[in-house]
Amino acid sequence: MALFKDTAQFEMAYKQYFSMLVGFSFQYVEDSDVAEDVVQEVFSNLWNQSDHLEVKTNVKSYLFGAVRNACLNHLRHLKVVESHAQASMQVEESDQTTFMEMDELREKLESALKQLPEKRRQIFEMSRFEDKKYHEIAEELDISIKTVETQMSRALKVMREVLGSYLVYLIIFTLIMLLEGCRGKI
Amino acid sequence: MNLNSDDIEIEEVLYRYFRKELSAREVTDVEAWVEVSPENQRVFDEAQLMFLDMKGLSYYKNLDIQDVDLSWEKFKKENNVRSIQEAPSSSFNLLRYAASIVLVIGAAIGIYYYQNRVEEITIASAEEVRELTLPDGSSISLNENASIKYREPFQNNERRVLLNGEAYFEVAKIEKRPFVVEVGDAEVRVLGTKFYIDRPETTSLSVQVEEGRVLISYNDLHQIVETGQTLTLDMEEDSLIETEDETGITSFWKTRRLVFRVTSIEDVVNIVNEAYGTSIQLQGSTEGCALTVTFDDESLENVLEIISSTLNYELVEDGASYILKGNDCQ
Repeated sequence: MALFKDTAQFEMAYKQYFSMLVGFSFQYVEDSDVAEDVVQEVFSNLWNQSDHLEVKTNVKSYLFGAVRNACLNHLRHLKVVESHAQASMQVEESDQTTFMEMDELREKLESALKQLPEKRRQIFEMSRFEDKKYHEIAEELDISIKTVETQMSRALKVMREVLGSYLVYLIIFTLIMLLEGCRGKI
Repeated sequence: MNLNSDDIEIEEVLYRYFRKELSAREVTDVEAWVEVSPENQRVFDEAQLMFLDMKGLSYYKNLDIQDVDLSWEKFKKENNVRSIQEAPSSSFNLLRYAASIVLVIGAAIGIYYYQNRVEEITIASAEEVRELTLPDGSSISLNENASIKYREPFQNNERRVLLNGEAYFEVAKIEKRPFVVEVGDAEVRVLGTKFYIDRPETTSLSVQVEEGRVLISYNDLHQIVETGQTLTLDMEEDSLIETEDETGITSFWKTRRLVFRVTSIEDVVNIVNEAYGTSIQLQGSTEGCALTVTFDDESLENVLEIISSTLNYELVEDGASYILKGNDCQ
């Protein structure tokens, strides 16, 4: 085992990150059973393949990145199943070694946030990170809902521009989905 | 809803779509729009990924407790993880056995401390007001140059934070886990409420309660502050007195709102100076001049403009500051 010296070390990582990862996973899949299964699966891969895994930054960052990837796979699977309900097919597990680690993703998002002017960022963060409704933000900042709406759409546009390159990842994801769709019809 | 106008609007509408804040009719519109072209589908997919990642990342900072031991047992069974190594079989048994017990105990202690480690977290605002949320869901606005410190996780069944400077609190109501703010030797204890803490001087502290009630304690002094009340503690005099804040100056840094009701012009200028951190001077005779006005998020220039035009004063620029030249009002 390259990543973990022994079982105890693995157990320690498991126990330290398990709950956090389940909570994190839930944000994507919105189903607590699925969230837990996804995390178990990621740990299982880690345990069984830890000799071959390349961890770029640290175990925590790897785990979060792997869970995110697994959640996206799950959602993709749901989507395919939904749009081709009758076609019985398997969605191939994507290669677990090529994905973005959490620290990289976080850096990207943070640098995107930094591009926003102060006020706009505040409004954006209140909505996105504090989960406030538009009318609550408008009330709190004493501005109109229309202003919140305008500021939000500008913020989202900038975020998307800055994040553009990483979103390419998703285009590949959509392509795979289309291919799967064709295979389903044959 | 016009989804075909331009990109800006679509991004925003999709954002609200993922947040489930659109009406049923708008939802149908969005779903129809996605079907129109692969390009629309792509925009939709990208927006969804960005939305999910931001949601995930905002959670990434928080934690949540689950039954980890149970899940670990399940995991071990499914993946054939053996915690105890092969059975002892040679004459070195006893020694090896003893050594492994020491190791197991050591690892157990290590895991215990690792899991129960307490982090001390400090969050500070610099030149700007900063909003933050604590792990218990309480939210705090720190005024400029303020900071709070707390332990993660909270200890001893109370939510204790150390405050330096001024702040506004919205405390999440959790029965049996009081929220305590330490300010120097004084302590403000609450159960779920909204209140401001201000530091007019380094030796005084005032608490303005917007909702609920809080208890201020300092040495042997204990006093409950009710909704709408403002209490000021003077640490040098060992006294607690009720103060009035009709103008809203205490919470101005957060609300950006000042209310004057037949307030003398001298008081108005003093309060405006305190609110905006300026040193505007009043000159001339101002006999009998009073104002009734509410300033809501107005710039200093607008405030002065309104004052001078209402009272028929002259507003003169004086370097970086201003002078108000008065006329009698009788």
